Amino acid sequence: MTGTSDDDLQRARQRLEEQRLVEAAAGGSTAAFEVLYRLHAGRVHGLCRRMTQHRETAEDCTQDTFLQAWRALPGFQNRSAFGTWLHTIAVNTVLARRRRLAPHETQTQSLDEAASLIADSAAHDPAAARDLESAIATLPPGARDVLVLVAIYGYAHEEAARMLGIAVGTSKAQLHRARHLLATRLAYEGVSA
Amino acid sequence: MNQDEAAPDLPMPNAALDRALATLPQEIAPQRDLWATIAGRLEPRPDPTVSRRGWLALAASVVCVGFLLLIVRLLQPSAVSGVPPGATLGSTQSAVSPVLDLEAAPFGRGVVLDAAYVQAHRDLSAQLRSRLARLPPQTRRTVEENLAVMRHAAMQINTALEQQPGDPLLEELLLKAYQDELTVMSTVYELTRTDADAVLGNRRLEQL
Repeated sequence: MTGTSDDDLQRARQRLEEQRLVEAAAGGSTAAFEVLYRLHAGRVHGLCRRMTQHRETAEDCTQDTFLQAWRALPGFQNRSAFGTWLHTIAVNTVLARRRRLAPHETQTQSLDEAASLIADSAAHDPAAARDLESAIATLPPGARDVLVLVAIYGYAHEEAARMLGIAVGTSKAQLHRARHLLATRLAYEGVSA
Repeated sequence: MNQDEAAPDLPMPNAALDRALATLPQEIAPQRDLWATIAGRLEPRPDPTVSRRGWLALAASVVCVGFLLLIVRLLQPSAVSGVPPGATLGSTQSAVSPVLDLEAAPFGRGVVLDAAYVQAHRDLSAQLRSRLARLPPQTRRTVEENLAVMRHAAMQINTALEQQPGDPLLEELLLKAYQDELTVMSTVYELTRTDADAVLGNRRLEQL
């Protein structure tokens, strides 16, 4: 017989609390929305940062994501987790921004960006993480997007494909490509992850 | 392609790479607190669900519908003394397919359509129902099928918008679906226009 663990209870409480916050924010409470921001800003910004590879752009995208969420909250139906819903908006925001910008503006930033990304994060092994983030930064945007969503944030290919507006098969192919490029680059630099 | 399929020429095994990727932190705090900026830009919600983009799109639709309504009202058959046989309101309404649904689909879940737009759409739909009966059966069926397809498309896009709020492509698609619907409606109007309508319309326009 399996009982409900403390972790399960804690998660259930958090979900309930979050649901209440979402309802309050949907009703116009900015205080509730601020709590939701504090809870989710790190993950949203992390996603934006990795997809854009640019600190200021990521901050702009994070702000736009929460502003869009505020406007769309009354229509949120709780069919997906609030965090997943936010990530969907974040991905749309990054992609829309990428479409608006000229190609040279969307190219990968310098590796200094990857280094600063690690400085901003709480990596367990900063040196290995820096190498890995640097290698991710050099990936083509399409492959990087899928890698970030699937390999780092744990989304299924179906979810990632829906978020990115691509076919599931394309998502799988892009992940394969990203892994291959990463493995090659990391081996070339003599990094053992 | 299977994502877990190991490529034989990979210098690093997929499993090791996946483990390394999984250790990367998902959270990266912004270097500055973004909340102050966000809080300053939060719009109050007098109408909690209508986005600015939605209003612009609907405003454009209202202009189109308003223009069509003006024409339709100018050519109101009931005011004509010489209405062609078989074109009276009473005789045509019964000939219209009962499955035709000209009600507007919503603009995204929870979005409140402008009341003027809803009323204009309803009035225009009522006029067009009677006019549809003037079309040959095959043409009428085609029109009805087209309208049904467009309405279904609008509903599908609405469902997708629930999942991906703010998606600019979906919003564009939805606006396009409504514009297409209006185009079909105005085409129906043109196709069913009779000489008597034209004469009356010209007279009314001259009186303006």
